[in-house]
Amino acid sequence: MTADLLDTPRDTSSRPAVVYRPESAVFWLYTVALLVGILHVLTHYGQAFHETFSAQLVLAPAWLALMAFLVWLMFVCDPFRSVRQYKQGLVAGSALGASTALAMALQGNTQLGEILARYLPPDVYADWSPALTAPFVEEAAKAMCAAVILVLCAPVFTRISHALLVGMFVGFGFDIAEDLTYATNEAIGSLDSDTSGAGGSLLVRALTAVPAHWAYTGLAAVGVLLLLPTFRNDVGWSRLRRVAVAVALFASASFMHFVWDGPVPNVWGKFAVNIAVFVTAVLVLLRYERRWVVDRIAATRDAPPLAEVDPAVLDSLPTGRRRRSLRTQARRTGGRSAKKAVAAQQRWALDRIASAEVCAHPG
Amino acid sequence: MVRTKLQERGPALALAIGLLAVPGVPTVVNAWLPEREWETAESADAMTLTSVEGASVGIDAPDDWQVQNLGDQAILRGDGGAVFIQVYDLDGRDPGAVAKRLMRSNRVGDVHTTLDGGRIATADGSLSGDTCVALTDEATGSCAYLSDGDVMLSVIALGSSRESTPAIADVVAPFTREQS
Repeated sequence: MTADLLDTPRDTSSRPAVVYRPESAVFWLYTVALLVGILHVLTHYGQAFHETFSAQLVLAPAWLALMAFLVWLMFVCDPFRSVRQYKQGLVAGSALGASTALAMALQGNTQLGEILARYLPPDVYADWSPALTAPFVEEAAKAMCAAVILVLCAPVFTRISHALLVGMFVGFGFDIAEDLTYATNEAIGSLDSDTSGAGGSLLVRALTAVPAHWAYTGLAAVGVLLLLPTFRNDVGWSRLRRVAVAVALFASASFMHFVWDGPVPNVWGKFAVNIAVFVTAVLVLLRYERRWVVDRIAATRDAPPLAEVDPAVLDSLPTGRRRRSLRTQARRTGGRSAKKAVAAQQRWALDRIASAEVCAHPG
Repeated sequence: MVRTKLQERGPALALAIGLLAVPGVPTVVNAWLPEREWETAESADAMTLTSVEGASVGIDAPDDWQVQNLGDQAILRGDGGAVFIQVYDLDGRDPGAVAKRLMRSNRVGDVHTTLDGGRIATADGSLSGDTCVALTDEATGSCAYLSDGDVMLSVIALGSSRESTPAIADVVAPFTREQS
């Protein structure tokens, strides 16, 4: 009995630590960066946050709705459930994006803006300074924070889909924290009331949240992973190809940000360009995750735990269309409960494929 | 007690350098470059501040003061003092209520202003309003919130000593509301 109690449960021994890795210097770097970031942001905005707290409280449902929507949208970009087992890594990324990345951006944007103000006429500076500072400073800050998470969580975040989601969550944290600073500034600067100032700002930011920082940083983080030795290079890309794709992804992230912050084109043009770039990049990147999932199914379908799954369910996993088709078929034959059961099996199988449990049983 | 060496020290160092470099490089370059040029006001010079909605206010700086026109705001400095001016559209708002909002906004920016009961107007009478005292960690001075019913002008004059603080009445006197 005592021996049973002292035995490490099988599940925990087979899963590596994700964030809490005190044996690693990167964990302590993460901790210090997080604390310094929080301190920096509070030094700059603490009093203003306090002054406008009641207005933000009134707007709390809207803030929560925006956050819930963005989290849902980011998980939509993870159709193979590659990161569902490692949510602590995503939370750690969001926290770093909301604190350290924001602190880096506040400092870097101000300094770069002052440099540009020396050389640009005031009207040109007013029009172009956001586009000439944020796309470089903010993207670099968020990419560095994504790099910290990808190195800290290197035992589990090794594939393109992992980096895509890590980057999205770093960008999401940054986005919400930046929205909060904008809403606070607008509340303080509003000539009417805190609530009208903050509410107007929040409305604009919510309407323009797709695509925004979470999307830019998702692409940049994949670029970061491609440059790291921890990248699980299943596709056998050469070093040159990895660098070239990484540069293209960094450029895409900054380009989307530049388009959004620039005085041209109009808002619809900005949406069209950025959505085209983002959707194209994500669809191309997810092809590699699909290929990996197909390979894992082929290699491990006869071994536990996938051997327990209905072959029809396994065959449906590679595409959303096939999964929906199987669920629809189940509903026709067995009603809603059958459809739900198939959906649950699909999720369970994808989670097993994505986690180390399947990797531990190579075919 | 066995002390184990921290792992991944190289990657941590590289990441730390990257985290510091992003804000550090522009900060070092900005500190290294010469200070931004200020224009020197001449007796005939006047500048115009324009609100977001296009309302204009003419600003006249004392001779030999340095000025920076930032569109809807301006900074004047000279003789050890500095004046910060910003123009806002009232859009039918009550000037007194707007002045209170601006005082709160200034307070969050560590510039504490309190109405002192005085009244002030430009020499041509186009703008008038209340005077106040201003206080920051490093400077003291006076301020004013002037309006004509369409625009609100916030003027804060600061100096490190009583002698260097520009008199708010002298600062405001040459200002004029320009009709576009």
